[in-house]
Amino acid sequence: MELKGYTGKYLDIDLTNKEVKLKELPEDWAKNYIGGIGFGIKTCWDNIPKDVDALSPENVISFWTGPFAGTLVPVSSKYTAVAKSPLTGTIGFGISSGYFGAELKRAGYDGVVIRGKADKLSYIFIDDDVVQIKDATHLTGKTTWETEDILKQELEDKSIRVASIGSAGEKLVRYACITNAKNRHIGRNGLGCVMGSKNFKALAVRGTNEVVVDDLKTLLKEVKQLYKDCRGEKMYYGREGTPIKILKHDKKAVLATNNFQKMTFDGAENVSGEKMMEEKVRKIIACEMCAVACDHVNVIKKGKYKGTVGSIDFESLWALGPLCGVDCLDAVTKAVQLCDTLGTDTISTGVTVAWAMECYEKGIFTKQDTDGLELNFGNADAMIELIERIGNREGEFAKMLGEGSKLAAQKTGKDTINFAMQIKGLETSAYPFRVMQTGALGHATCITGAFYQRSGSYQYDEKDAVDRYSLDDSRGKLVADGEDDYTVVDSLIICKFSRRIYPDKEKLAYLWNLVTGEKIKYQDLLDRGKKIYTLGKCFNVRHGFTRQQDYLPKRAYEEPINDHINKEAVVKMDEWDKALDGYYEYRKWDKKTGIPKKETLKELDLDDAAEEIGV
Amino acid sequence: MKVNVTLLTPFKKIKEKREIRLELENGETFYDLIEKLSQEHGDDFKNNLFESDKKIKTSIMIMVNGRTITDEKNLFQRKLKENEEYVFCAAIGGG
Repeated sequence: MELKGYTGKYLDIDLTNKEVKLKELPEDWAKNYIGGIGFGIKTCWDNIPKDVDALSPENVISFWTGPFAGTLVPVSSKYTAVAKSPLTGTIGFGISSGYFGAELKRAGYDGVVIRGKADKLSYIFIDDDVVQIKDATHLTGKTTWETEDILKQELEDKSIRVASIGSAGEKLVRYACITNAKNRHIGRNGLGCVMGSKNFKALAVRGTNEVVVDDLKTLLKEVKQLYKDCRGEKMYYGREGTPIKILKHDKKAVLATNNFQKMTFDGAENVSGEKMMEEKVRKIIACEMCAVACDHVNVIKKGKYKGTVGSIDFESLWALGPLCGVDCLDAVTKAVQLCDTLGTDTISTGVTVAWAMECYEKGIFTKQDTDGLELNFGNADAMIELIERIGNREGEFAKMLGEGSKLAAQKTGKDTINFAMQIKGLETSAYPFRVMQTGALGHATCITGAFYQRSGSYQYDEKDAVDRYSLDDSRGKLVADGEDDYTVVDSLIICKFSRRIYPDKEKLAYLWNLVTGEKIKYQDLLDRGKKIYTLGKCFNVRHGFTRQQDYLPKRAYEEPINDHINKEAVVKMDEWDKALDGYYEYRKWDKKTGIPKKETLKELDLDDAAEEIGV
Repeated sequence: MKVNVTLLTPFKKIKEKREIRLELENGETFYDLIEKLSQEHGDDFKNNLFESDKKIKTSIMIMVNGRTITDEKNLFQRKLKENEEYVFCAAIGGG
């Protein structure tokens, strides 16, 4: 491998045949696909043909780091898992942090590709160059926290890093997550469910090798300043934390409440980041090579949730708080702890429960349907009980909700799909479509379903840099540029909380130069980002996705929001179509079908993708 | 004329209150509002708001009736209107 920062090797493990192969990382992968999600999307493209069911042994899940993991570059101890998503049928991935990514790199691998299905529950232990597929039947039903503790104990090393699933993953909840370091998760798209479908309980790693960079002396000098910047005044992430957005969003009237029926929440103060910091946060934890330290851990010291421990950020707080009408921090902490230990994505869990609550309040579900739960908005006890049942797949109602809001709504009928707040099956994040419409466009074009982290386009609305109550054909550029930029960040991989320490993106390219030895500009990385994102889109096209799936739930077009700030706020269908046209045109994709054109794919040197998707 | 002011992180509460209602003269501007808040709150308020050269810090966000204001020059000269809602908060994304 010519470029530094990479190990140049990855593991290819077949769980069906219990085969472990050591493979060379192709040189052109680093120069075309960067690392992280870039390698994951390329792996999915090369290995998952049309019609492969996401829960079948033929699905392939791969774990990847980027060139920065294990080096001194700040906020770089990240890893990703990528596979076909059982929740959406699209390409699916999530990114987590902690210590796992750096450990995997030190063990000597840029990534691990897992295929097939084990005949019984198993885990993989990578101990530098010794790789074992081991029995995990004794871990059946164990939580992610228990699994991590047990494996560290039986492998007799507390510093081993573990990524595992809980009972939700084992029992195929479609939005099951993968957890490492107890509070860090690959949450979105149901990657934990893919692990469960393979009888694959955990990946444990111990790495003791060095990671080589090209210019250590200059890198040392550069990172010193970056570490100082991580503690700078703008870095709220490490002090107050993202939960302070609750009150800010409430004041802006963009705090989606009661399943997006309202944009302000009467109980906002009770679940505010300010109150949480004052009364509940007992510890703030950092990931490896991170001076930001953003992980705010709540400990509940009294009351009925006494003893609960939960790491809470804005999205989790919102999804299990205001969105479900719950205004009690102790209850939200309990709900987050259940999601983290049973192993479900907090966003998908909250949005699915909120959909069920709206169905209950509208009389579509009775107490008999819900297996005895009074699912009114604000009923924290019912929410908590339901989350526990979903994670353990107990009872028919919770089993249905474990399929995700889209499939649950399709099964329920009665037009409940209109207010299942998802796109392509992925439950949406906290930026409400009708009052943050650039964000809505980014959620809809996102190749993994409704998620803000793939383009960050909501930021234009948050800053009112555009008219956030309307759309036109110019917004596509904002979204597409954001997608390419975030694809670079997710491939390198560095944490998005570093955005304020890299205001000049050339700094990132410079770090790339120092780590890998390849002298390039940020535009070169962006070109690679565009190629990766487009290949991800081609994966979706291969699996049947077209323009038709880039639309919002009907609620966004048909139910205007009115309050003291929002006036008749609704997404107008003609504007939406123009905005989609603008996005596809800017991407040089066919605007009628939403599919990349042959000449566009040729420009990106993706000729094989053009042939495969038939353009 | 009265306006509503909300002080969120990193601003401290005034007299244990996050939301306050302030009386101002007709014709007074946003800058007058800042002066008034500084009188109530001492130097803390201005230190949180301004760089040393009286430019609003990039780490701070100001919203007027739910709309984020980014045009600093026009913001200072903005004439206050009855019952307007001003929010001072952190410029923080993600989460």
